[in-house]
Amino acid sequence: MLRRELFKILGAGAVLPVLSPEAFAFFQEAQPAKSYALRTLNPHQNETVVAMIDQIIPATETPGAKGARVNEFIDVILTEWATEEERRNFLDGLAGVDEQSNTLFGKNFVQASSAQQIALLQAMDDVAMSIHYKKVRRSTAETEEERDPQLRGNFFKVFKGITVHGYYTSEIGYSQEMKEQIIPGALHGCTPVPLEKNT
Amino acid sequence: MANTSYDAIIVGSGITGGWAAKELTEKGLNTLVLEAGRPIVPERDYVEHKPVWELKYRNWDDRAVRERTQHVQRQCDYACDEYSSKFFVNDLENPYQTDPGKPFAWIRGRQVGGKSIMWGRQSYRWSDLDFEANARDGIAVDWPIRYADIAPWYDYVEDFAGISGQAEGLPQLPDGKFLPPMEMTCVELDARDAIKKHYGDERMITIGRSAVLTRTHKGRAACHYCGVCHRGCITQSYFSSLNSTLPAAQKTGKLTVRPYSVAHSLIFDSKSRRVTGVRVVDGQTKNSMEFKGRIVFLCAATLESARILLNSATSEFPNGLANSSGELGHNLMDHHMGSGASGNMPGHEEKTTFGNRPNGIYIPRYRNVKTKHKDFIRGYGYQGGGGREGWSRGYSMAGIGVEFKKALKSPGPWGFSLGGFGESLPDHNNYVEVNKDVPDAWGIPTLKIHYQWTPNELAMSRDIAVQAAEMLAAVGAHNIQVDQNITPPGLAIHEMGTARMGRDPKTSVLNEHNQAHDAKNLFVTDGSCMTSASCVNPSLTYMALTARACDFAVSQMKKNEL
Repeated sequence: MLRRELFKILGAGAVLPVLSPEAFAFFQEAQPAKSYALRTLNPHQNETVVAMIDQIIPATETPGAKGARVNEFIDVILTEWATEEERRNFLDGLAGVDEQSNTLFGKNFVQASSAQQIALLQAMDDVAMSIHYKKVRRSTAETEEERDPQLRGNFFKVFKGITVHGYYTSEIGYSQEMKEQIIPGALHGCTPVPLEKNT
Repeated sequence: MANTSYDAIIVGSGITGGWAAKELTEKGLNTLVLEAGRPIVPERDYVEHKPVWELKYRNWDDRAVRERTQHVQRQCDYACDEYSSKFFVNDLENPYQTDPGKPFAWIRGRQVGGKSIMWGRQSYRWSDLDFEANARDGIAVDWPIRYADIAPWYDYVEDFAGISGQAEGLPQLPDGKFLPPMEMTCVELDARDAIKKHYGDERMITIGRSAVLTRTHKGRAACHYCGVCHRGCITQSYFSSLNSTLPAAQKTGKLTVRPYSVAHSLIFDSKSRRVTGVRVVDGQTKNSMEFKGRIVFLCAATLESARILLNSATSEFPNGLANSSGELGHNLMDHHMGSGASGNMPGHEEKTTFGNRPNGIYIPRYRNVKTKHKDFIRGYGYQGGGGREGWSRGYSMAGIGVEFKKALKSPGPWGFSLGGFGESLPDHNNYVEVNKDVPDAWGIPTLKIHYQWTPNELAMSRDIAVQAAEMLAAVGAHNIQVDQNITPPGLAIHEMGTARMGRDPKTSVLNEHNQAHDAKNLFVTDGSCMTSASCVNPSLTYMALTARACDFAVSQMKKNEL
């Protein structure tokens, strides 16, 4: 599709810039690995993560965060990106979800009913979203924590942030859900919202 | 054995080195371009269409590696990211020092094309308000040129580079030869009308003037609005050395580009009073070598060019070559930024934008244009824009589930933001010196940078924040957030002034043709030549000065003056 798009644009111009076949190789390579082996999340933690992301961004007419395998992105970030402290906080927070679920419902989060899961996550969201976080640009950040704050602060804020990021930067989130195009091919400054985005 | 003798040697292949290469080769000179970094193959190295899901960290970047090797470079947050950090230097290989508590962010790109690959592309002409500023204020030294001297060269470089923009007839921001302007968004159009109504002729909003093609131009395709120019552009739709000037130079058959050539110093012959060549350390083998040239153009960027000249000291010039004035390395300037404001704009619920515009709006300077401000001299402009928020508002938007997902699918509220770029003053006390004790990875002495904003910049920065908020209120914005803040110098990446032009060899390094007072066949045409800083983005002026200096140099060669 990208290849077709690019040709469309080039065909519209009067000239053809130098383009070699290698230029198009980008569009075909580097597909995500078909199977990913978890490295940080154990099976129970992974099931909890999958249940949570599935409630935060569920499947609708397009796949949700589970279908986009956001749990695998979370595992990559926890394994390779997080500091030891951030990883520990994340896993502690995850264990805390089970604790709360047990207190409220007498069972782990994954065993709770969908309505119970939603109730718990909604309560966590109410707290997390009421906290005001000052936006810090990397150019003015003074500490490493300020430069990369994604895994810092309230657990549910962190969890929701990584879920949103992982989903909308996936091919499913970007192309199927948001219908974004890498090469729009035109610019309109003030144009009607397309029907499919007018929710 | 490879040729080591040329008509002209250019140090650097960025915006000015690329222009010098084009001009000198087209005028028939056999020209060598020395570039410290690696070659760039667009088909291999450009990454503007790589989907974000193919990045391992989804553009959160390889944080640990970046913190270790690019802790300075990654402060350039619009471009030094998981895609484009490869276009910025490794800070471990390229150390420099600053004074405690006085940071300077030195952002560098070493590769064929230099920083022209990642530059912001905003392209504005200076005016006589700028060229007369030092003389009027009795600061530093007077520019040896006026707008009339450079105007035809602005025409010349704009005609080749392709600058999109809107003619407005402002004396403080002269119009150029523009390609069609990019469209403003719904709220930008509203804001433009409201500013006009509220401020009359004093202030105005225009579309940014950008070196991005809005139609096919000189064999290069129109922009396709992928919106991430700083990752490269396979259709060559924005101006960079790689996309424009170097291919033109290549066509002449007179160009040799030598990557991995780290310039160490210039060779000066005290008898003939000429620079005879360039000492180079091979970036890969670390072997030393020399190249000879009849003329030398230093286009290595402001701080690198100063460093090369400081490292070229001789017994006659113990404080650096071409430094009989003592001003080499001094009068370092960068624009100050960080202050501004943002808010939400009402209306237009049913409208949005399409395409990723690699440009914003511009509010030209209005301070000290017609009236005198009580707290500071000179002025500032704003860059900014208005658009609808995207899915990333989901990080902090309440809700989960189907409704949350549905809400994020539609465009968010209209936002509008303004960020100021302010002029800074030339100050002899803002300077660089060579630190022989700290070599870089190639054994070349590095710089110690001493820089501190002057009270004039601090006063101006406060006004930038206050006025941004006032203007947002005037255009009907709500939820206004004010940023009053001044970023560390260097971060505007408009550093300039370390080898200033002037009329008097006693107080300046270069004359009105960018020619060193102390060595007639040496030209310095990057930002180091600047005598004052203006508040507009400087690259277009560097291009025009470079083309003008090349014309002068070749005419002098033809007269056997060089």
